[in-house]
Amino acid sequence: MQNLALIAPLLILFPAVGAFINFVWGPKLNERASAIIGSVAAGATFFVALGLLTYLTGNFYQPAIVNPPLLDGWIRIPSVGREIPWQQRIDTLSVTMMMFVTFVGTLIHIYAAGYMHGDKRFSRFFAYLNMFLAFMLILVSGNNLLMMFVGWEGVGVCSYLLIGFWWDKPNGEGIKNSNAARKAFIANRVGDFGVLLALFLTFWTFGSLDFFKPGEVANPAHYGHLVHEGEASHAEEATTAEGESHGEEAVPAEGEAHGEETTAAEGEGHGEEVMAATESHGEEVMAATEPEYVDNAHLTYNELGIFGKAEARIHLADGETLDAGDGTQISRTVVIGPWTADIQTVITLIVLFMLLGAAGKSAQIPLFVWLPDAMAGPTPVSALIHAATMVTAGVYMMVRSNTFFYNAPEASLVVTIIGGTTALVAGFIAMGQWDIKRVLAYSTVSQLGFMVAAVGIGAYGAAIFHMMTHAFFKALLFLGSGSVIHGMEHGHHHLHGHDDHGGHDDHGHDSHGHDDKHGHDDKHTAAHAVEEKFDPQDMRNMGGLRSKMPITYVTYLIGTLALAGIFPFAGFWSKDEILADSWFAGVFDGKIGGYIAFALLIAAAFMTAFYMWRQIEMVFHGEARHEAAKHAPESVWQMTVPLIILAVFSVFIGFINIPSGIGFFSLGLDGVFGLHTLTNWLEYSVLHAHAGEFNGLVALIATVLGFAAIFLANRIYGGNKALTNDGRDPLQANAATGPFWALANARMYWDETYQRLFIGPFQRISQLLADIDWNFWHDYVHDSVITRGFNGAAKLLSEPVDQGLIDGTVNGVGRLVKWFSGLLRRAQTGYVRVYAVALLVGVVAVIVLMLLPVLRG
Amino acid sequence: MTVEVILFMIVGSITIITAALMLMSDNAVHSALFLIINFMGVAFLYLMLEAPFLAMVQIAVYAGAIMVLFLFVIMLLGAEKTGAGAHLRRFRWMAPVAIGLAVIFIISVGWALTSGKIDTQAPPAVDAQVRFVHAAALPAAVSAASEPVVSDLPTDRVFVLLVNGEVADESFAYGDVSDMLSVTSGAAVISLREAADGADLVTTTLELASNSVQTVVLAGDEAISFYAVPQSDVSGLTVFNAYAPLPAVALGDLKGELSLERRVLPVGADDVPFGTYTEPLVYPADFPNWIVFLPGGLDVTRPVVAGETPATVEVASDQDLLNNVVLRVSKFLPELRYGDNTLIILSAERLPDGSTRPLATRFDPVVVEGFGSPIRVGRTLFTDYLLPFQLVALLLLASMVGVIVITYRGDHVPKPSRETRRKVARPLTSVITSQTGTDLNDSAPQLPEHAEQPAGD
Amino acid sequence: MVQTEAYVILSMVLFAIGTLGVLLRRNAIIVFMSVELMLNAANLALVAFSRQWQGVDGQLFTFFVMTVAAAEVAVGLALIVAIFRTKQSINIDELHTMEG
Repeated sequence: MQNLALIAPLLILFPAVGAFINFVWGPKLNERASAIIGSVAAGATFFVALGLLTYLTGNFYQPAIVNPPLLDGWIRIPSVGREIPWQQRIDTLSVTMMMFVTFVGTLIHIYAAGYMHGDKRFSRFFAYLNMFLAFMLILVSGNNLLMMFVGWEGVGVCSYLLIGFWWDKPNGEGIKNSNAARKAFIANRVGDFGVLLALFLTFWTFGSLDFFKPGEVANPAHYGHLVHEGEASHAEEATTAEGESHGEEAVPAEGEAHGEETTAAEGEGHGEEVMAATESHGEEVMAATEPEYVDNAHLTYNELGIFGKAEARIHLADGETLDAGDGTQISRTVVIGPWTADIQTVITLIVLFMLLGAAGKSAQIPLFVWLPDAMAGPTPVSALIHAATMVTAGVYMMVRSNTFFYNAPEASLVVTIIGGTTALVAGFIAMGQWDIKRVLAYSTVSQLGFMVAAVGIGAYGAAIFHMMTHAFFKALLFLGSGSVIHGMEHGHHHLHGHDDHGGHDDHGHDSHGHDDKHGHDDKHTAAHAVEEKFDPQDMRNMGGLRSKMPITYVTYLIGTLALAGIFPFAGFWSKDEILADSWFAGVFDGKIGGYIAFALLIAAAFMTAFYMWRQIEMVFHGEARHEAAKHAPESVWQMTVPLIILAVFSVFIGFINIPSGIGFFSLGLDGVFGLHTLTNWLEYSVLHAHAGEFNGLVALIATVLGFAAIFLANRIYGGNKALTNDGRDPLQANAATGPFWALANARMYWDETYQRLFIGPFQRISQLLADIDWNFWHDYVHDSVITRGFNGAAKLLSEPVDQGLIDGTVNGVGRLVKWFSGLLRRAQTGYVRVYAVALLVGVVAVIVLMLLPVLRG
Repeated sequence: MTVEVILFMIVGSITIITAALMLMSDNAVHSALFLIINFMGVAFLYLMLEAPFLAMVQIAVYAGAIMVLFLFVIMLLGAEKTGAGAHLRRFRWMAPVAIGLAVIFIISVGWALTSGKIDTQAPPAVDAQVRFVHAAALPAAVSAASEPVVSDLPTDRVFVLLVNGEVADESFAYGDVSDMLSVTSGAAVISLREAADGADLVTTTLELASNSVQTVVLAGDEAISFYAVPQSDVSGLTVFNAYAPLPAVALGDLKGELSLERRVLPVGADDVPFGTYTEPLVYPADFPNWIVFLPGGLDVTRPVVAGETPATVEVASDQDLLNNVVLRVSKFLPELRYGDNTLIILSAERLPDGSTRPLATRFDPVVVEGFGSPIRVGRTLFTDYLLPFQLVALLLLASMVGVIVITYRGDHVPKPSRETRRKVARPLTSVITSQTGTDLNDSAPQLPEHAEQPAGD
Repeated sequence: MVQTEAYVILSMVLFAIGTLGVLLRRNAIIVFMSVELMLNAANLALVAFSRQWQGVDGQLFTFFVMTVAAAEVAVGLALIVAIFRTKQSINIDELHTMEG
């Protein structure tokens, strides 16, 4: 069991191999093979995650740090003794993330097999999906911030690739898609800047980026439950890849006690951590095996991860120092170059930077503008990435760094405000959208705001809980919308018998990457160069699909109810926990953020229920407003089966974290699922997660508001009044609400503001620089100065210098020789006498010369 | 004015005159003949310069071969007259230049010569030829400077002879005569030792003249020493007195037998002390009958005039003579000849019973080659100058081949025309005709009109 | 003994005469003979000095000179013969075709 954690690298390997195969041999494979490879890779990853879940449950939730095989470290800086290893952390939080990411991911792979049928780059799509999965898993399984950042960037890349998947659609659609992809990438980049700064600060302050080092306990208090008096075990906390397991886990004789922990879910294969009868948290004492270490007392400061170090350091008094373990003293002061700062300040800064990163990745104010545009990508992409997984990365980062957030109350307040505001703003905008997917996109932004606000008020467990539930029902909603769109298109085809959309080689009219320059969210995009502009995603064209697409309708309804927070669906539990936690934070802990969060989130919850029911009314109820809707068929099984599965989950997933004090409202399921199961599970990794209490008042208010919103929406939109006679929204037509509705429809002019403030000037500056570059550098300097100068110099060198001087010299030498030899040849007269004279003159000269000393005396 | 100088002047002037005549003669044959006479003169000069071999070679090669060749070619080409062709105008400057050149040359060299600055170099010393004779028969006390006295020197003892420190003879016993050794002329240290690296028993330093032939005799009785006897150039009899018992001897010519009448005995050398040698005594024409006698025993009458008439000695009686005769040389050396240059060493011979009696040993002269003799030249030629000799031989061979190649006319078809008539200035017949006034024949001998084989092929 | 200088002076005079012959006569044969005269003069000087210095080397050198002179005469006369065949004249002033 110890070594089961060693399968962790497979998490990354399987999807990577799947991506590789689809990349390299994709064009040669047929659709079926590509889809199978992709889905099998994702499914295998799910089973690996399941295995890791098994490992954890069998190992007393003690986390594992897995080093990859064959790789020896990652980044090493020996001169300062720093190291950033490539390690994977298998603990409850990461396994949680892994489970639902892989599960939803597998379902979406299967869905995409049906959705992308006929696409000419089918295999490439699956390669991208697998690649995304690989990076996402790196993100959640990394043991240090840098690995997380690798995954962070990787999913950003995959998001870019997938959003712009139909970049080659004609009539300008392709341009819109690639613009949307670029927008997503760039917005994410701004967030990455924040993450990087947080990373640098962390590294500088704490000397490493590891979340937890081997032997470290994330939540010592939580482990106290597990200590059996007097019986020690040899269970290791950290199993390294070298497999140094110092002992085996003594198999407890009480198999049932162990079995109580064992997840029955292993047999089911869902990603549920069904922890049967673990009321043991507070009361029972586990038998037999127990962790070796239950706190971090045995570790020195240097042997702690960043969170342990932060905790140790933040609790130092002024001037107090702590021995780092190698003799150096650690104090509250952090030295950053010429500046010094208190650790509190530094942590606040780190938190704020992380907030910026989360704002980018998880689409918060001010960087959320990419998410609606990201709907240009195919629906499975929207479902997977922009509903369930990638956007949750920011929340994951924040929850993982809960120590930082917990110890930076001011920054947490900012987080709360940002999250709440985002939830409200997005909810408001969603109320005025026509596009079915756009509504869901803004809904996602709004729900992410919920999660971020939960993080802000310290409800880390609640945030993760809501993330999980949201993943399921949002994916369900997206896939359902995809099914609706599919049906609309098929109905349109059936109706007209020809594809009336230029380049309809794919069924994706999801490319609604609208031009940023237009201020409208109209379905009348200029790219419809056809005689009839038909947008299958426009809700105004829909209606009455309840009877045409029943399965879709039922699942969609379940998803809507879950999202709206209606008891007993999943959203109720998670949203209610956040609301309750914010209420408690405000009332009992005195945090102003709690009040703010409560107010904003309540309002947002109201709006959520409203716009979702509006959508139900417009899409499924009433009469069909377009011929296509009249003939929309139900979708294929590849699409409906995942819908059903997700719908089932959306119903029951909420019960994994039943708050205490719920009483009979738990419908008796607390006996089945236990109380705070998820939070307890998470607490092993998340230090400051706390179980939520049930507050009946809050729940009542939330439920009442939810029903009220649904009732209101029904009143406004129900009964075939989804659109006024002139095709306007009833709220639009109403004089009192019209301006507000128009504002919502105009998406609060957010993109236009950005365009005016940032993008426009930027483009003008770059145009200016381009002009300078072209006119001055290219035309003048290049052509005039360099080219002509060079030509002139070459001419100079060739004519007078080369031809005149050098050739003249060389030829001159020849001529000189010729002249000289002409002179000399006269010496050869041919007469022997002359030669004899010459010879004898020479002889006499030599003799006289030799006798000269004698002659001279 | 010695004969040599007169001879030189005569021959020299002949040489110069014939050279000039050669130069100025019109007829090429005359020039050749003058040159031959020139060469003869030069050969004579070589003889005067102690180069007899070279003189002969000069005559044989130059006069005999080269000039003959010249004459052959002159005759062949018919080039007696050189009048063909006018003096070219372009060479008018040649005569002054040539004369100027010659004058400069003569003046400069003559001046250098006559200023007497030509170095004279002492001729290199030639090794002396030395032979060693062990003639010390009597035991004697040998005393070297710091060496112990050798008590006796028996005749059968063998010694080591060292010349200038190098072993010359390893077994030098009584009566031994070594081979002719070349010893560097000048002072030579001759020593005798028991063993090669032992102590010197006898050491003598002798002065050996360059290019001389010496006989070094180990002689002595009580004091043994080496005595050098040079070979004389004059023929005659040289006697070296190595007879230890007697301090001096005399030499006389006993013509015929003694008679009891008063005799006058010509004396060749009247006093030859021990360790010295006589002047070469000229033999009388008839068979000499030399005796060695004690000078004190007989009265020797000195001649009145020095040098002309030999000394004589009056012998009172035969018995007187017989009492004083040491030995009769003719008894020992009957084959003495007139004209030989002979050395006789008079030594003592040890008898087995210990007594001694006189002994005369004869040494024939060793011929030393003269400077310039063929032997000397040949010896040096074939040892030191062998390589140039071979090269020159090669050169001769090459030139012989070259000559044939140059003059070879393989495809020559002689022109059957009259232009190949020889240019003979005056055919012999015309000469005869002009001198005798008659024609020998009707027609002068002509070359055949249609000569199939013209001359000169 | 006659002094070496006398011999050398004699040799010098002969050499000068030979030089004059080489330069002034037009007949090739006479020129050749003058060359032989010059060689002889040199030989004489050599032998004189050899006698003075009592070294046989001078005489040997003379020997070589004589040999070489003989070879040279043979070749030279052969050349003259060959030339005469073509030009029918041995006037050296008529032989100047190899001019520059």
